[in-house]
Amino acid sequence: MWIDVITAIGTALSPECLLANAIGVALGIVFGALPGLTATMGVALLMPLTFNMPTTEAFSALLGMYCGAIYGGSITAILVGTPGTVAAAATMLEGPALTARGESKKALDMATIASFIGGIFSCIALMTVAPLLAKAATAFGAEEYFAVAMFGMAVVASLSASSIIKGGIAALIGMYLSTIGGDPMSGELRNTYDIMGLYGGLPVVPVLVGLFAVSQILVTMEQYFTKTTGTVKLEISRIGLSWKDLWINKFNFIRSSIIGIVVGIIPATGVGTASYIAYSTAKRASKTPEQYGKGILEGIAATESSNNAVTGGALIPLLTLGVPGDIVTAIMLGALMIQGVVPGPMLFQNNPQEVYGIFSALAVSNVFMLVMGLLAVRPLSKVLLIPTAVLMPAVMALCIVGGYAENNSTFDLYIVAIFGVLGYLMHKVEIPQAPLLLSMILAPIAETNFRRALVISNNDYTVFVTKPISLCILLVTIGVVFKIFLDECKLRRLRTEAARAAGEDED
Amino acid sequence: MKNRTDVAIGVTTLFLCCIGTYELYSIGGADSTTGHLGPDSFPKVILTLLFLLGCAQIWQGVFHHSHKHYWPDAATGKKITLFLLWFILYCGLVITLGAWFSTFDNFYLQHNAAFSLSTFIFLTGALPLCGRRRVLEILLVSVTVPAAIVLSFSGFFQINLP
Repeated sequence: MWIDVITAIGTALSPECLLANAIGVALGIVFGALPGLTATMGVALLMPLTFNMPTTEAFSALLGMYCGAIYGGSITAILVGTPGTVAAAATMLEGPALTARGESKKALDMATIASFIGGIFSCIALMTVAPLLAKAATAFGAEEYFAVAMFGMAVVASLSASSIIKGGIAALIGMYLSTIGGDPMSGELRNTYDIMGLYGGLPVVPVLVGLFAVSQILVTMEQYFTKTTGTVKLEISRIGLSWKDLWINKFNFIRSSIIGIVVGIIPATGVGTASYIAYSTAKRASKTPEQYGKGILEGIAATESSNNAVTGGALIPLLTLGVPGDIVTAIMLGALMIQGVVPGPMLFQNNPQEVYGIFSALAVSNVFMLVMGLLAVRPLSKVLLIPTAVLMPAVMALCIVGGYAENNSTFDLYIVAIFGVLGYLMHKVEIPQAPLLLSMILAPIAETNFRRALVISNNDYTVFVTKPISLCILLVTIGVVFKIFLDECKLRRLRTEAARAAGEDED
Repeated sequence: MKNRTDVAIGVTTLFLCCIGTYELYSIGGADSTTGHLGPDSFPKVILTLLFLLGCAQIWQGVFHHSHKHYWPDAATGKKITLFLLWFILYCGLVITLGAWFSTFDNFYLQHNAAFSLSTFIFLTGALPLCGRRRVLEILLVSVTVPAAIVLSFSGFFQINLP
């Protein structure tokens, strides 16, 4: 094992991997900082470039992009008061106030160091938890995999902020789309509508490029046309962070990083959730909670360490079970498959060098992020001055390349366009896109393992509840579904009361 | 009716269910190789649940207040639609030119010409659509973006372009 670890570290530190990692981090910071460009979009568009690279080199670039983009969002949140990514939305609660007080450099340095600490913590968690979980998961059979996929889909369906029904509709459409192509058991074609391009199933990369990149460009263009994006003035102060500022946040860093890791491990909960939980926990634990919202470094320390801690956490279910923790890791699942690496418990036995290479690449990405954040934040933040009207059409051209590169098929360009329009419409009517894509990935795992378990057990449906691990996961899933319904009922009651109150006011 | 958009979402969902159900008839059922569940079982469950959620969505739209949806005003809507149509035309152009250039006997024409030319045309149209008026800037961006993509993707990373 140690030979594999040392070889993997050596590979991750080779000039090619370091270059790929540095480029990934720099591009990630640019993608994260620019409003309208997201971490998902960045990783999706970078993926085609990695097709011809060795696994560790490819993941150096992709993980660099992931970490850089999650961190990069904080630059815009602090300097402009617009979150570059969802991950930085909570940072916006403190960042602009600090900038207004002339402490933008302090805030940026805190975001950089907190992101680094969160990233390194998540790396340690990944290195320690993933092998143990993989070892435990070798005992998993079809029943357990079915249960894990069901759990993921239950969490996924709750991702709709406005309505559980809309989240459910998105998840079910994703599941239906996953059934297009050959049946996993008999190989018989189904739901192809006699379209030859669909015989091999719906390709994931063009779908996600359309759903997350093209639709996001359209949303950004709409904001640009309605002039809601505002003008950017970049003024970074001179006074940086002191050791004292870091020392008083030591527990905050650790607590928020742990929150980020745990949230990352739970499928589909995402970076946004982690940073808000960490922010409110830090506020509760603070000696000066009244300062929150008025520009306090503690808030930035909490949000940034937690959102970057998600990166390693989200890789744990991906590498050990083959179940992606969020959209970005769903893209990475595709990248692993293209590299010929099958994620799951056997990954640690079959491809140890690739796995430890990925671990090392994540650590290197965090180091690059720290260096670039501390030394190059001024030049990197200049990208905010690129006009949206020039940038978005150029990124549109990249979407075409990204959508085409997986299969070299022009049919995929139609898919990019169709899902781009669909994603934009979904955004307008508040149907979340994430459940659609995640269930497209999780549903085949659920279906295949459900049917496989039944075939093995001679069609005994009790097999899912007679195995203890499967039963536990299914019980937790039922608990999650029950909680989602309770939350929905509560939300609906509040909404009805608000509507009634508004009606009374009008009277 | 308290929210028309919600009702429209429900109706669209039911419409998708109808299309899915029609296609379901072409799928075979369970046999000795697949056990109790055939290739059509999972889609059937999905479509049933989708039908129920579609009905629930219509019920919600008719009887319950929910978020107001913000559609762009007419002028912005027109610009977005134009931008979207221009993008769809761009996709079509890449495919058509790609098929045409593939008949040539030259490597560069076969692999990069369709993408470069159609991206140039797309950008020269998209930039004025987004409000950029300076001809020099439009030409500069329209030439440098495809050139940079071709050089980096096709030249450096050996990725095939459409």
